[in-house]
Amino acid sequence: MAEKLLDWNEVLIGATIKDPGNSRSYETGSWRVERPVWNPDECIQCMFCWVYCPDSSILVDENGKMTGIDYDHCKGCGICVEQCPKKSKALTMLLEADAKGKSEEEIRKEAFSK
Amino acid sequence: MSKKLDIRWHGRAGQGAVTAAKTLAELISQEEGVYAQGFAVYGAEKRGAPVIAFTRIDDKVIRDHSEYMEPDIVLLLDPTLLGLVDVKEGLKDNGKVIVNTSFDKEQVIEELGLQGYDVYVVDANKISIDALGRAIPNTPMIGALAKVTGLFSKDEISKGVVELLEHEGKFPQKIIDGNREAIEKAYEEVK
Amino acid sequence: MGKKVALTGNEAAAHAIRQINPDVVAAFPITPSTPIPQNIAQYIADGKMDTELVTVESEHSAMSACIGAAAGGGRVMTATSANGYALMWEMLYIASGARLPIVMAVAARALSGPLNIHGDHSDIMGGRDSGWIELVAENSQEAYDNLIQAVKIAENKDVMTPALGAFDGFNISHSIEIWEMEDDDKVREFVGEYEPLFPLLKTEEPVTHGAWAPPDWYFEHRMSQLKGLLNAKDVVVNVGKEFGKAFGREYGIYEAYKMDDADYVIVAMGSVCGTTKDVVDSLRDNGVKAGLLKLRLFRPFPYKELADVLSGAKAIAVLDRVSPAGAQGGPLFNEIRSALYDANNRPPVINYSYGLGGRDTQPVHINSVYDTLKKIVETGKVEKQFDCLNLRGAWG
Repeated sequence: MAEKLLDWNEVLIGATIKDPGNSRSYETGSWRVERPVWNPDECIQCMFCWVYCPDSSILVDENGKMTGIDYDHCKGCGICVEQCPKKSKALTMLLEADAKGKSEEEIRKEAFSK
Repeated sequence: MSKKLDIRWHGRAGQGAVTAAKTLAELISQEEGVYAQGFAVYGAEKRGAPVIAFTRIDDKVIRDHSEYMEPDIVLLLDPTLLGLVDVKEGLKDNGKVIVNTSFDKEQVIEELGLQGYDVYVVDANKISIDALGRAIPNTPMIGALAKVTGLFSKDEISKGVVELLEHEGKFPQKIIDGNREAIEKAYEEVK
Repeated sequence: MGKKVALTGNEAAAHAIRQINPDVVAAFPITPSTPIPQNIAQYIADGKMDTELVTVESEHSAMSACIGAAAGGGRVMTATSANGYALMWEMLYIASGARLPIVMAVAARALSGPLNIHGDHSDIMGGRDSGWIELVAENSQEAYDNLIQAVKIAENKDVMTPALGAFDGFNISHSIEIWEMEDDDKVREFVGEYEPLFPLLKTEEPVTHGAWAPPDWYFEHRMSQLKGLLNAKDVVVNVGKEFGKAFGREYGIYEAYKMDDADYVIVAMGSVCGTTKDVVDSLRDNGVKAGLLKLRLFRPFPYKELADVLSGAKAIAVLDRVSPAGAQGGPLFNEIRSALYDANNRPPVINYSYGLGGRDTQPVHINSVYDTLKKIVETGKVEKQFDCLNLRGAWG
C-alpha cells in the first residue's frame, strides 16, 4: 500500500476511488502471528472454513473445491480451525515463527506433528 | 382597478376564512396589472379556533409579507369573535365592515360597537345552509365583498369562483351549483 | 415573461421540481414544507413527472436515499425544514463530501425546543458548515427561480456541490402571491442534461464511493471539497446572468436596493427584505438615505463583494432570523463584521435578532432600526450592539 500521498488539488473529487475492489492490494497477511495450515488428505471439502473466513482467504477453484490458504491476506484469526469439523486434522494453527524458512511440506509436517 | 386594497378576514377555523382570502387573491390575479397576496396566521389547527386571514391587492408587486395591516375592509365571518379578537384593529376611518349575521344593521352596529364604520350585513350562514346544506359562510361573503367593493360584477364573481372550483376537479356539480347560488344571493342581499 | 399564477411558495418549489423532472426524489414530510413532496406525489400519479419518488421513513433516510441515487448517477432533489433538516445533519456532510449535486428546497423553520413550526432561519444557519451552497429567497418568485438555477450551479463541473434553496416557512411557503411560472420545456432546456462524474451504475467503469480517508488523506479531501464550494460564487453570478437572458429576471449574489448613496443600511435575507423595501421607499420619500443589502448567496459567503458594497455606508444593521446562540451576534452579523474588518472604511455595525419562531416583523420595527442607525450617526455612539425586534421585555 505504498501509494504517493497527493496534494489537496491532486486528490480525486469526492474521495472517489477509481479502481474499486482494490482492498485486494492491501496485503494484511503481514499482520499474522500464527497461520492456519491445511492438510488436503484429511479435508472433507465441507467449505465451513470458507463460509466463516472474514478475509476471504480460503482459496477455492472453479469447481468449488478448496485448494489452500491465501497467506497474502490471511490474518491468522483461527476461526477456520475453530469451525473445521475434522478437529485439527484438516486445519491447525502454527506460529509464524515456527513456519519461517520452511517449505510447504515441512510446515505441514511441523503443524500436524503435535 | 388602480388602487390599493387591504382586506382582513376574521373567522373561526372551519368557516373558510383562509380559503376565502386565498380565493380572492387567485381571482384578482387573473386581471392584468393587478397583484394580490393571500395568507393566514397559522396557529393551533382546530375547528372553532379564531382565524385571521389577509388579502392584499395592489397595482404593483406586493413586497410586504408581515401581518401589519390597516384594512380598508374587515370581513367578520363569525360575530361571536368580537370581544375575543380585536376585529377593528387598524381599521381605517370609515372603513367597511361586512358582518355575517341574521340581525339587522342598526342592531349589529349597536351590539358590536361599530359606530363610525361603513357597516354591511348579510346572512351568509342562512344563504349557505339554503344553497349547500351547511353553514360555511365563506363563498357568500366573497359575493358580498364583490358587491360592496365593486371589484367584480355579480356575473364576474360567480363565474370566477365557479371556474376555480371546477378547476380543482374534486367538487360534485351539486356543490358547484350551490356555491354559485350562494354567491349570487349574497351579492344581491348584502346591505 | 412566463405565465402569471397565484400560488404559494411551496407550490412554486413543487412546480420547479416538477419542471426539472429529476430522476429521483426521496423525501419525508414536515411542516411547513410538506406540500412539496405531497404535490410531487400528485404530479407523478397524474403522469406529469417521470421521477421515482421514494417515500422514506425519516429525513435521515431521505438524504441517505438521495445520496445513494445521486452516487448511482441520477439527478436528485428533495425538500425539508427545521427538525427534518436537523435529522439529516450527518448525511448533509456525506453528500457534500461525496461531491454529489443534490438540490434541496428548504422552507426555513424554527428548530424545536420549544416546539414551533413557524418561519425562522435556525435550520439553514445550523447547517451552514455542512458544505452545501445556500441560496435564500425573498418571495415565491425567487423560491421558484432559485431552485431552477441551483440545479445548474450544483452540477457545474467546477462546483459539483449540493445546493439548497431556502424560503421563509409560512411567510412565503404558505402565502399566495402572484409570480411567473415559465414553460416546462424552457425550464428543462435551461437545466439541461445531468452528466454525473463517476456514476456507480456505469458498471463498465467501476468506482467506489464512500471510502475511508485516514489522517494522512482527510485534510486534502476536505480542502479539495472546499475549492468546489468556493468556485460556486462565480458560477452563481454566471448562471444568474444566463437565467436573466432566458427568462428576463437576472440574479446575482445579492440585491442592492437603493444602495448607491445609502447612509443607513440594513443587511438581511429572506421575506423581511420585502417589508424593508417598503420602509426604504417611504424613508427615501422623506429624504432619508436608507438602503437595503439583500443577501441571496449565503454559502459560500461573498465577503469581498459585501465589504465593497457596504463600506460606503455610515451605519449598518444586520438582521438575523436566529438567536446569536452565544456568539457575539447572529451568524450573518458575525460574518459581515469579519468581512468589514479589513476594509478601509469600517462603519459601525449593529445586530438584531428578529422573527424567531414566526414572530411578525412589521414596518414599524424596521423603521425603528433605521431610527437607531440615524441616532448612531448623529451621536457617534453605539448604545447597544445587539438587540431584538418585537420581543416582549427589553433585552439586556
